[in-house]
Amino acid sequence: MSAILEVRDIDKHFDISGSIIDQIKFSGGKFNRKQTLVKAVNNVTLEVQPGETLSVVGESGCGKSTLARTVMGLYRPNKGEIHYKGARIDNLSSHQMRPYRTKMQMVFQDPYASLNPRMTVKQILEEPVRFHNPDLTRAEIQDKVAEVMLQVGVDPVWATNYPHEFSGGQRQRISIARALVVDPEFIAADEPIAALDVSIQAQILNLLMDAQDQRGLTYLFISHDLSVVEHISSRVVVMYLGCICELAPAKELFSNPKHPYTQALLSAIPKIGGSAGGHVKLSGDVPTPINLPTGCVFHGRCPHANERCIREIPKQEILANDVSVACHAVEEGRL
Amino acid sequence: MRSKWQRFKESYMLYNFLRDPVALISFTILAILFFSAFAAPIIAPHNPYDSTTIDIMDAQIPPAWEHHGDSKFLLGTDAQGRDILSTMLYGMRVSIIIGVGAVCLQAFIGIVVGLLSGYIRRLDNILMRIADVQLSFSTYMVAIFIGAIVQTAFGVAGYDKVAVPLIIVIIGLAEWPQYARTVRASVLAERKKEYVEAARVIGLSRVRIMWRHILPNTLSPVLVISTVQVANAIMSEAALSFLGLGMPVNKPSLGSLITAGFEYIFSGSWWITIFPGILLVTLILVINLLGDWVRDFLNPKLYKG
Amino acid sequence: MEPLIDIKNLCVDFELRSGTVRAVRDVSLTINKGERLGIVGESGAGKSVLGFSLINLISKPGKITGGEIIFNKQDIAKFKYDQMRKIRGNDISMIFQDPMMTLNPVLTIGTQMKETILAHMDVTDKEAEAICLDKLQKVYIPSPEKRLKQYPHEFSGGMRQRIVIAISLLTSPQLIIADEPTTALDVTIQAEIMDLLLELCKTENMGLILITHDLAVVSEVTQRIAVLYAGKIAELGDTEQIISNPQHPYTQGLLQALPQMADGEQRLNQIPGMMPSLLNMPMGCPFEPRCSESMEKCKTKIPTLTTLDNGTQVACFAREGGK
Repeated sequence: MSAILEVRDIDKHFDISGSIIDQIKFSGGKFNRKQTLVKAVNNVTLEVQPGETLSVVGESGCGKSTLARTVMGLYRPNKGEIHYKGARIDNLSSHQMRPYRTKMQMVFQDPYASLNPRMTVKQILEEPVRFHNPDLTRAEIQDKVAEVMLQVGVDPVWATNYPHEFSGGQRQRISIARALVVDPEFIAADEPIAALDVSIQAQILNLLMDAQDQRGLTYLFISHDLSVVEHISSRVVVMYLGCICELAPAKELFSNPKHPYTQALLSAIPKIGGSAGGHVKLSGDVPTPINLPTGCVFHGRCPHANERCIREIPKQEILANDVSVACHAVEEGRL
Repeated sequence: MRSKWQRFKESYMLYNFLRDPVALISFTILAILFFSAFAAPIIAPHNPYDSTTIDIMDAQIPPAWEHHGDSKFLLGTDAQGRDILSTMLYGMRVSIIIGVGAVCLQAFIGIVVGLLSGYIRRLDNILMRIADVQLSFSTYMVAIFIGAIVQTAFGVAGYDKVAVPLIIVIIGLAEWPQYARTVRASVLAERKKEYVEAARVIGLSRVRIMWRHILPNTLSPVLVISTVQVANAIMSEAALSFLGLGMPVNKPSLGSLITAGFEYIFSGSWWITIFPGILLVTLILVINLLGDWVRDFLNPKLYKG
Repeated sequence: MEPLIDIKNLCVDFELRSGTVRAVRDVSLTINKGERLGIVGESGAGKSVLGFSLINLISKPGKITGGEIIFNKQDIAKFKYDQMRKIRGNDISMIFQDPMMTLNPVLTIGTQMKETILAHMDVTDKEAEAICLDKLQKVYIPSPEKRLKQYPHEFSGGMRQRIVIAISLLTSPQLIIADEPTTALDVTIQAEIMDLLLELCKTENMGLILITHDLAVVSEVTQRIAVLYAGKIAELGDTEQIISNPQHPYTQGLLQALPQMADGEQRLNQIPGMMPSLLNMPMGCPFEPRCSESMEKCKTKIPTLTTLDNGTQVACFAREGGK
């Protein structure tokens, strides 16, 4: 099966140097130009198979949100290529991207900021339909909007209300409706339930999974909540400081994590009925993506790091069971 | 499904407004002033612009309740024999037109520049530098410049006809950077929000996103500064007229009335300056008080959603 | 074990233009010395309001409208501002959710810490500094002498929360109220902070009230749990009991909705509907509209806490009659 989305060795760096005046610093007896780069995504290669849910997990600063936005075309990668169903999409103009916009959609994290507070729900949902299908009549557009609202569980009678009149969970449903109304094939969901209450999270997750079954969707699911990820993913990617540590089928990853970071992450999840303590302690704090450590980005906190880890960036190595790990210790058999 | 009118009646804004005595009183006074100003042709006892009705023999008559006063001229007359009350009403109309007109121009230029500057990074630097240059020119300097050129070009008679639009343009050009900066700040904040990203993911064009999505959300601060800016514009016009750069003598605004009467204050005809002065102060005060209420109401800490 | 704080029938109301919001309704709880209690609930349940009201941090339009909070044999719910000041930050400390908001960005850590000490204890500057260093070491911050001179933005999120914990320890309080202390932190840092809190409670013999929505965290750290729903306690009892054998339908629903408990099923068990708006409370049991076991009685009468055989207290008509 050919992949629906292919990401090949992409980088995304943000230049926060400021204007030319901010950059010039006087040190060592002469003027130097200092550029500050936030290296959010580094050498990421992955594929998303049609119909699957690929989850990207990691802590803050790992680049997962940036990755999702780069894939969706909100940022342009500094290096590398992105292919959708075989066609290259990262270098297209916004006009050329238009047909892809109906196929690839996105759901965002913050239910309060992801809907325009000055538009009614009706306007929010009609806009994408009208934009991509200028020939539809008013009645047809209204039907489509009503249909998608029913599917996400919001009564179409409330379509003339404004977003602030809805609760967080309902707004997230409306966001999902906006993504679904153009009949996409691929949806990138950036922490869609992180801002919701626990009992609402279950509802929204079920909604997402139902939509996937009914419409044959492919999901790129970004989350930091590992228990949710374990439940809904087919495969999982673990990221740290913009680099992929491990990529494996969900069952494999959770039962048999290979990368030291994955192991630490999984052991830190609080478990119902568990007891505190007893998890892998990582030394130090999460470094920033501004000054990336040399070699393996995790070496500063890794309990198994050796001299090679400081010098050399580990490569993705494919092991048995479809697991791919980027770690010298695993490669050398030390783990 | 409620209509817009029903929404307004139930809205928090109306509730808050009706409970704030300062806001209510200011609004009432402002409404009365506006109405009197625009109904001036109907309610003013005399027409100060019609030179046939003005008799120089009526000059400098004190207010009706004073000794020597004339009940025909309730608040007295000025040095040309024009009824102060009528001239005040017509003058207030001119002041208000200039105030509102100048603010509309400022807002228009400022919003366009602010939107472009905030949303399109490449234009940001150059547009903001232009705004800085504009700010470094004082309004009065610009007024002198342009006023002098126009007066020479059109002559004094022609100047009368273009005075109002000219002052509107001058004050409008002087103050648009205020709006541009405010709008730009809002745009920079809104641009990062997820509904803008969602609009980009739908594939909408930049222009459409700026106009349909970002602009409506930047209007709150614009509303807040507009009330103050109207008051400022009216005052700027009064100052310009006071300096002789504003409205011509035969089509006075409140400011030029105050100017004209200033020389007579020491010779005893205090009413020529004082009454228009009180009216101007009242007008500015109620506009500012209303503006305060709007600003407090729209304060994000107090106003949720 | 002697009670440290005894909350009796506490009511907290908010007077809004649209009506009176009864955020905390008739809540009774006891916390013993050195005990760790978790207050669990979703947003709108009133758990933060409950935590704040313990040290009277509720400001207008909110007010404590009924009940007592007995601390050190006095009813602190009735204390005036000055009396409350002696207790706040002194006998009872609080940790908030976002350490960046809690720490003043323009003051050094040293200034903020010494300020707290000097406000409550009569010591010299040098002694205050010694106490600061001692507490910073207790929270495992390396090279504390250097840290005192630094500003909050020079620390990472996890370190900042440790500093906030250190500040709350300065006066050796008897009770710490932690309002969602790790929600804003990453999972690995969260684990460290919770470990730290647990250790400190044991070594300093402090009570802990942990307010959170995260059932997993609460199950690892606390000894007792109070589950709040719409301002009332739904269930109260030992952590182990509640987690392994929840009684109230809401607690059961909450636990079952977690992906960890989905047990291989594709769909998660969801609780239908939403928490009722606090302005529009149903007449009877607040959970009734969403409850699968609701009876006629539940629609009109509000259940009170009854004690079951295993010691857990539940507010539910369907469970009355013991077990």
